[in-house]
Amino acid sequence: MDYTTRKWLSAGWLMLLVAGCATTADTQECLLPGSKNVESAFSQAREDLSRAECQYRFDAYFQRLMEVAEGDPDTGHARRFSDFLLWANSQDIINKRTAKDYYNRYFSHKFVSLPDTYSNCGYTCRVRDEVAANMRDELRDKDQGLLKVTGDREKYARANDLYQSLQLLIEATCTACESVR
Amino acid sequence: MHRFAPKSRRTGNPAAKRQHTGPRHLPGTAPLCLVAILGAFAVTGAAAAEPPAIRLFPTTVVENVKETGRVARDMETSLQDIIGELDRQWQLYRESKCEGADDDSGCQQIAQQLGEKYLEMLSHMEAELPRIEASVQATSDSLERRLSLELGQKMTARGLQQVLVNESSRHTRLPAARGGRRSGGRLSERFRQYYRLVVQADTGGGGSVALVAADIYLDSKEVLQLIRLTRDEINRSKLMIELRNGFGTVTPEMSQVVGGVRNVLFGEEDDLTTGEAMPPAGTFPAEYRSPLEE
Repeated sequence: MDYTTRKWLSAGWLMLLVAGCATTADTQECLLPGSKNVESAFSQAREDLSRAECQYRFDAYFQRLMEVAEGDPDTGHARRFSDFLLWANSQDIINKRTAKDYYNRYFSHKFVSLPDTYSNCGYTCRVRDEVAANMRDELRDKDQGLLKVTGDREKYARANDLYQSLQLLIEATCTACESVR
Repeated sequence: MHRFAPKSRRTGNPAAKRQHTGPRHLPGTAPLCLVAILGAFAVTGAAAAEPPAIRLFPTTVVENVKETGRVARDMETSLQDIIGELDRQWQLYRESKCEGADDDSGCQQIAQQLGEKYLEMLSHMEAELPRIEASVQATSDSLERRLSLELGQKMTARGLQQVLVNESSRHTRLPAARGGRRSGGRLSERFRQYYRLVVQADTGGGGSVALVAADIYLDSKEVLQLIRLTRDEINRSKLMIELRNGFGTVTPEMSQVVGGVRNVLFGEEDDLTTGEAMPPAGTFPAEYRSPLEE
């Protein structure tokens, strides 16, 4: 092999190596679904999340899917997301509790951010502002899930009703607790 | 599943062991026992699914609410004439352009009458306010104790949510306390409506018991605050009159006090926020229920 041939071969190997690295980097990066099509986005998310190295980005994938679904609202999306979360649980990506929390936070009228360990007088009333802020954030997520993604106005109205009623009930309960204390 | 195994099996309860040494059951009674045991489990299961009963309206609270409405109505009736007369005299005073015309003898006469009527109202209010205050205070105190015990100490925030969800599944709408309390209207009318809601809620025909209780309690607190402010204003006004040793001067405080009385007893324009409008039933197809939904 003469010098020129060896030079060309080396250059070729180098290019192949660079190209190979670039391909590996692409697949390793766990890029969020770029498609605006809901089905394609879900299948890409499933495919990516099947790989262990992408599973830490589960929340980012979920948010991306919500954004894609917002662009094509449909009542069937609640089932799609439920199936997706159940699948993620079956693949050991998230546990059942987390799957439930994700689903209910976005697609149920009930609030999952409410504390459930200690009594209202003993705990909730002491962190009332925090509870109220968490509920506000969750109502915003329900607005996305129930109104923008599934278009379920009836369920969102129920969530909004529950939100207002809970505010009133917590205010009255905490006022009573503080006065009796 | 092991967590829910009967205690006797987990701990080797001697009482349970003794059962095995007792007389054997006759073969014919075995199915009956099985049915009885299953029945007992079913009852226990149903009881576990049902939230604990909350008792927010004992008879005393219901009577207090009713009594407050009655006292408020009596007071409104007795004050209506005096306030009506005051209004007419204010109007005459303004129309006669008496503001600033202190030297005019006609204006002095109107101001004198206005002052006398004002003092009459103050005296009447001074005599009547403690009665209504005591009645509202009794309602507020009993509800306060019940709310603190039943919803504050026995429940978590998630528990409150469950109460509302269970109640709204029994009643399609929650008539009281939807999106804001009633802060207007006549006091007697407000308590008359509360009494109706309490009775309906207690008999299972109205809205949420917890919400009705919360609504009445917070409103009672607000009314008490207004009564106290009005009483302070009355005392201040009477002191001013004593210091001036008579009438003849119409002051802005007078109209403020009359405004305060109006606020407590007759309320202002009803301004109930209605919350998000609900579409008519049947507008949407049967909703999907995920196995993840709680």
